[in-house]
Amino acid sequence: MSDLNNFYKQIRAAIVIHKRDLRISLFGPVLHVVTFASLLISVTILRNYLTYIEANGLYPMPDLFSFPYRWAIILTGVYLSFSIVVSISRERESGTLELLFYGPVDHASYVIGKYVAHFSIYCLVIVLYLLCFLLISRIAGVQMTNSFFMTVLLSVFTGGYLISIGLFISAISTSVRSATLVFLTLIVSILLLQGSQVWLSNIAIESDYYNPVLLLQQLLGLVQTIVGWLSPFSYLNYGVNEMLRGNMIVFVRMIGFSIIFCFVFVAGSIIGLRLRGVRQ
Amino acid sequence: MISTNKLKKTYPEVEAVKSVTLNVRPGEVYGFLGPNGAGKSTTIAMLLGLVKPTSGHLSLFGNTLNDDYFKIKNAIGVVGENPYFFDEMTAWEFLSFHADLYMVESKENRINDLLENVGLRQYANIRPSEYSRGMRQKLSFVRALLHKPELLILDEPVSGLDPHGIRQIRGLIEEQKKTGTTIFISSHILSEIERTADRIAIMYKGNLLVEDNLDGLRYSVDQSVRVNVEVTHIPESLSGKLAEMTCVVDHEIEGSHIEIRLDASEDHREEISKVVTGSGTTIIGMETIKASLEETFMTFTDENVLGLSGTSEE
Repeated sequence: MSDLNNFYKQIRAAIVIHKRDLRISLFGPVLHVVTFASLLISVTILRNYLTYIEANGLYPMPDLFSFPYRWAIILTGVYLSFSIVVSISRERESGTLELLFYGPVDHASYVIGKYVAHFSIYCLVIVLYLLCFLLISRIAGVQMTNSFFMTVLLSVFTGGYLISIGLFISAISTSVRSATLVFLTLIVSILLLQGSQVWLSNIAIESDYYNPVLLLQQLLGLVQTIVGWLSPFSYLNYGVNEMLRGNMIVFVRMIGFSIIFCFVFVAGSIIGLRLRGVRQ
Repeated sequence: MISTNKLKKTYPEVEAVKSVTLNVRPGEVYGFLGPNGAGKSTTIAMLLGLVKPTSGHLSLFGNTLNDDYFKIKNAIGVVGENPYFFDEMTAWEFLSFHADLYMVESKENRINDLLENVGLRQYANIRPSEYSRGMRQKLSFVRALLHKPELLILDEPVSGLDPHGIRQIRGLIEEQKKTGTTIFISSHILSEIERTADRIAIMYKGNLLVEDNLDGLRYSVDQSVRVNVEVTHIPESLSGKLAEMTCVVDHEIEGSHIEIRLDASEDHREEISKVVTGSGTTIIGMETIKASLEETFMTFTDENVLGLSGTSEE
């Protein structure tokens, strides 16, 4: 009975924190700027497709909306993940984290409240994108395919996973600066890794023996495989590609992995915050 | 209400709290004294569960935080040394958020009443960042009182305030004392503790040196009491008669004033009065001079500078 009562109080505290963060994000300007910019990029890509169709009478690809949507949602996800990275460490630096822990807030309720707030915003933005794309589809007279809706579905889970990574970094970081640095290093490393692999794969290899380029290609391939197992971007791209090939098992598996890793990182954040403490 | 047993906190480079055993009784104002760096804030952080003790035991309301975290936290109101606020919220929104957190019933009325009480009602829609230090501290008090806590923990509540602000905060503490709230107040402003506390503990270099009421503290540093007697004239025999009294430790005559140091174990004023008048003079006034908390505190800490310096380097 007491456990149930504590659980209720934990949920209650998480809801209050969730409401506060939701309110702060929705009334702040940055989210709206990022959403607008993401939408602008995706609409520009869509416009190019429509111009192509108008000029050639042909579709450049079967699903017009998935690629521009992925752009928009990756940008939004990265922003929300960054926002949560800064959020906990900033609260710790400013002392408001300590203030919350004076009262009936524990590590789990705080972390869950934070996570759910950012995930709710992410879902709200997805709904907004979906409405915009529906409107464009009506105006342009272009039909939306099932694969687009499947992409949207997968993006909900991969975005949730991306936000949980930001949460974890923030929970274990000592300051806003270190949290930002870790997050940016992570993002830049992933991008550099992908770029390097493409660049290296274009280099022709003359001999198979003791060739440093080959060795580097193999090494990067290995790192890429590991990153592929952890990166939410990889899950989104891989899941969508396999779904387009009709391999729904892999698509569902990507959703499953996203959920599992999301739980792992949220739980890691609770433990990390407990170990790191609420004080600067 | 609060009970700790050999509470200890060690950081890699410093032993912040060495051994603290204290006991705060329900309904009392407990003054927690100590110079900067004595370990007061670390002890409070351990009480609140913000810092995990290295060893020792602590309980609040008879339970540990692990036993019933939310029930205990709901019964405590805390005013920290630094008033923290959310930048994005007005004072009203800030209080409303905390009222939701503590599940305060009819929160609007409660917030309005408390704001009215501290004179902040008209500033409710302003962000606390625009408040003065005193206003921010009062707002922190309002936040801490929202849920009618049974225990108030105040960490340096008047630090950095002007005399007017100190007076207002003192008024709030006295109001809470009247309602029966247990108050644990940490400060290095001794005059405030002297005015408000029922019992006092003195921390020094991570150790709890003593825990008693003010008279008990005075007695433990000096077993004598000073009495200043003003008389019309000094008869020649008076000095000798006083010296013969067993309760008189020593005495000093200056003009028409006699300062007598008496054994503090009993009240000897009546005996003194008889001896003085019996020597043929008239008493105009008699005043007991008690050591201030500041003097008592200095004696304790000075004694322990020598006593502890060999074993405790912070």
